[in-house]
Amino acid sequence: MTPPPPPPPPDEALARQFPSPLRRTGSSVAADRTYTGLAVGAAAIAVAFVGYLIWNTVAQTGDVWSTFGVWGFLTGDQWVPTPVSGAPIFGALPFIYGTLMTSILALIIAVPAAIGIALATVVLLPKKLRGPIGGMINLLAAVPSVIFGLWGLTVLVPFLKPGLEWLSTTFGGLSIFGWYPFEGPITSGSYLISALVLAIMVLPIITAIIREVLITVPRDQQEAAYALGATRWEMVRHSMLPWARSGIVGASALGLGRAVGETIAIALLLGNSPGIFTSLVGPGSTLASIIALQTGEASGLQMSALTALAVVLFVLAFGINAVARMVVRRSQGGAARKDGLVSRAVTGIAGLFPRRAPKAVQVSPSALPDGPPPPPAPREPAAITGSASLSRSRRVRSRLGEGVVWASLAFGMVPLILVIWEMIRVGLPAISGSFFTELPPTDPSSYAGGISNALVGTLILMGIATLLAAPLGILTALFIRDVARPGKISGKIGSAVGFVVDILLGVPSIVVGLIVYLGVVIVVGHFSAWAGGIALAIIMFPVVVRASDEVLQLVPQAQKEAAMALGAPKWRTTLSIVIPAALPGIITGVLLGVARASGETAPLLFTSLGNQFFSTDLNAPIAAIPQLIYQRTIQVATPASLQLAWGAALVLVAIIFILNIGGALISRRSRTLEVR
Amino acid sequence: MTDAHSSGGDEAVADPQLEAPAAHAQSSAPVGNATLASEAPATSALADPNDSSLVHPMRTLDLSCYFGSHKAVEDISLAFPANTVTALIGPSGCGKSTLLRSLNRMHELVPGARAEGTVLLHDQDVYGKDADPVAVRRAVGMVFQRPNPFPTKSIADNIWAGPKFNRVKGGKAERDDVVERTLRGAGLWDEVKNRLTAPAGGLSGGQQQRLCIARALAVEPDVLLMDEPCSALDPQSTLRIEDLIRELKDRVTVIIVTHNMQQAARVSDYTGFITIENEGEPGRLIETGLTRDVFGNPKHSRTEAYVTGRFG
Repeated sequence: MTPPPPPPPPDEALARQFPSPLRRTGSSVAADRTYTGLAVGAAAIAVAFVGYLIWNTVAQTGDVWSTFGVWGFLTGDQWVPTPVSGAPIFGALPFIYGTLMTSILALIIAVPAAIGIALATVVLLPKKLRGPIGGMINLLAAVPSVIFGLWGLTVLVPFLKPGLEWLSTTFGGLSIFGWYPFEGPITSGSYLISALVLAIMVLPIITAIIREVLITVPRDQQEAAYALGATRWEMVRHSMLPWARSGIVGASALGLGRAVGETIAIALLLGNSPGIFTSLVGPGSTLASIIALQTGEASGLQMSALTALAVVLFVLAFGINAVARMVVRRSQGGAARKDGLVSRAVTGIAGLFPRRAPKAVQVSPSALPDGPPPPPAPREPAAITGSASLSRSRRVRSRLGEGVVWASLAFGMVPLILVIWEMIRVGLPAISGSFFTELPPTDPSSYAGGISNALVGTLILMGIATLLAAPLGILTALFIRDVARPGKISGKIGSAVGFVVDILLGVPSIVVGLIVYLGVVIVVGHFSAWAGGIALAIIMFPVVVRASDEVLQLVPQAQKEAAMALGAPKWRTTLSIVIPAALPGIITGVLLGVARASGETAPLLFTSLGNQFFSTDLNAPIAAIPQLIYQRTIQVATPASLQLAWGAALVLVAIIFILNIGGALISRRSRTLEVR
Repeated sequence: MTDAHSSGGDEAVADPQLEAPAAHAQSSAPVGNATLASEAPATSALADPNDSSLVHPMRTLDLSCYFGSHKAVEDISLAFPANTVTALIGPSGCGKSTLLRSLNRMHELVPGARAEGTVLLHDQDVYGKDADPVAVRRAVGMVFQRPNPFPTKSIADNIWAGPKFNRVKGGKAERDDVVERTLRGAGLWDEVKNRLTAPAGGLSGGQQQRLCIARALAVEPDVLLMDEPCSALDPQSTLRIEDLIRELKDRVTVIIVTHNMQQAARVSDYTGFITIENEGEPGRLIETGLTRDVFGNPKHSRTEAYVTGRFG
């Protein structure tokens, strides 16, 4: 580089210069390099750390492959860590079976319900109700896994047990090629109830994606059906569903990807009994649940085998997600949309708070039509010539179709209401001033005490996770979208980083917990708040990156060009134009990430471990609310401890709802401003 | 500046002397020579680049622009005389906007886009090794097709954005002075002087575009590029902008791309006609010269067909 010319004195800088120097000051160039360096550095650190953790994890599995062989391990149907005699045996098959069985059963329940709910909130419900109902379904997604587990164990299992008993006495002898799916005895853990709870948990994500696809059904497709005299149901059946078919397949696959990684609820509800083609009313075990239940006290070959199970789970989830993404993307007209985290939050939860008639939005040509066209009153498609009315069978069929939709809507709404009801009924009495200031009682039958240690622990863990994930995530998003240039090498690196982020987004949280255990806890030698915070940061990071990336893409190119044409350096354009425009969305992304991470139990089980006492030491084990709920449910399980758990659940859900709703509202308000 | 003639309809018989740029052209002879010299139409200069009586702040030599492997314009050699308005006209897709965007290195912001050849700004190569695109854009301003003020920034902040980007440390007095001077220069001062702190997004389209012009002027560029600046505006706003463009040449050298031939005739001193011969070929410069000659007495049949509306 040639030495930069001396910067002109301020008052002359505006004066006409002939010739203008075509170079700029060293400090300006240095500032650009600093910005680029920060973004590249953040992406590099994130990718390198994740790479290290993965490599470290895979390296731990060597013993398993050398002892049993890859095929032998995958197809081994025995899991005997401590045999009475002889060497321990480890095989993955029962857990692969358990994972797929629970997930597929869950999908069989969830997908029809999701289609129904999506149809209800896009077409059938009165316009005023669509937003709020859709928002409530999205709230389901915000309820942490451990609370569904608690609810399932204390409410659903006792309630459904008679039903299971009836199933087993009525169909117990039924055999499908030697498999007795409803054979007794009934235990508290069962596939059917696990699958039911799992279905409720994956319902929101499947619904959200099907909704997005249904909204893209062109108005003329709908009008074409109406114009032929179709009833509303016939329009749905013949215009909307065929259009959305591949979207539904993709959404189901994404739901499957979510379901296979679900840990805590399953660990609480499925029991722990590895087996293949055992009774559906009896217990089983999944990849995720066995890792959660056994890693704590495993060592040697068993630890290695559990790690191998985590690798299997990771590969399974990754494969499912990759296929799902492809299908979803194709079904959205090749528009190459990434998962719209922010937009989903804005159209989703914030729908609970309907806003006034969005005049400005109507002006925007890109605004999608929000439902069916008002005109031809669908219930009476009278022929021009007069009184030709619907045939009876058509009317019945349309009623039936809509009836199914209403039923699935109820299926989505009822659990949410029941969970919230239980939380208030049992949890609210537990909450008092001392609930926030006292430690949990050591006496399991005592109704005194509180969750002060867990509350502070959760805040500390979230603080660590946010401080790590937010800056790294935002800078990584800037690298992908603002620094990397398409068509250049940096563009390719940017896409590669984006790919890593997408992989991280689909990693089951229990796997994150395990790899941080292996890569941090084992290496450092003790459990710590740091390790827990790092695990949660790995869960937050991809959420922050994708959300930021999504809004960075929305910053109008014209604004950036306007700044650059004024001679603004890169970093200036980013700082003064790009970031301010994207900031609300970025904040929303961070809040969504915090909300998602704050309900997680699985990654904390063997990282921050939990602590009965009050601790703020970052190098020591620390308590957290989700973990306290888990521990009180599974290990103590007295009425008093369950009340404490429900109280803690109420606090946790309140925190998560506030984060979600706050995030959505911040982003939505700024969008309204933008359109004006 | 008395340039009422340039919007009149009698260019064909007007004395060339009247059309000559007021500031620098002492006689019309060199200009006439240049026009004659452009008989071979593949490449030519607007005015004789070697004529020392004309100052050319910006020149191009064999400039070609690419999108990936596709060549959008080829071998453009042009000289833009100081304190004049030069119009680049041609049918849609002929590459005139691409050419314009390559003059301040905005072209290369499009993924895969690049330019070959030379662009000289006061004899310094804009694409030279030492040249920094940021510094180039500071010296060569640009106004875009659609008004693009920063919508949430105030009117005054929009004006001051450029100096701020360029780290001009001015006090409040200097800032106010720049804001008033450039807004007056853009003919917007009287309309907005009472709401300088209001967001720029609240202005009308025509006002926004004049704000964008004022914003570009605030960094005191040597050359101002205008990419169809009126195509998103109503006729009334268009006329105001055109008046403004004629006034601007006192301060800067203006290069404007337009596919509105009346506009080119109304505002420009010189005109360059670019077109594509066949589908898939790059745009080439067909004819250049004084605007009144290009429109009134075109040398090339393609130009004649275009300016008389028979093609394009």
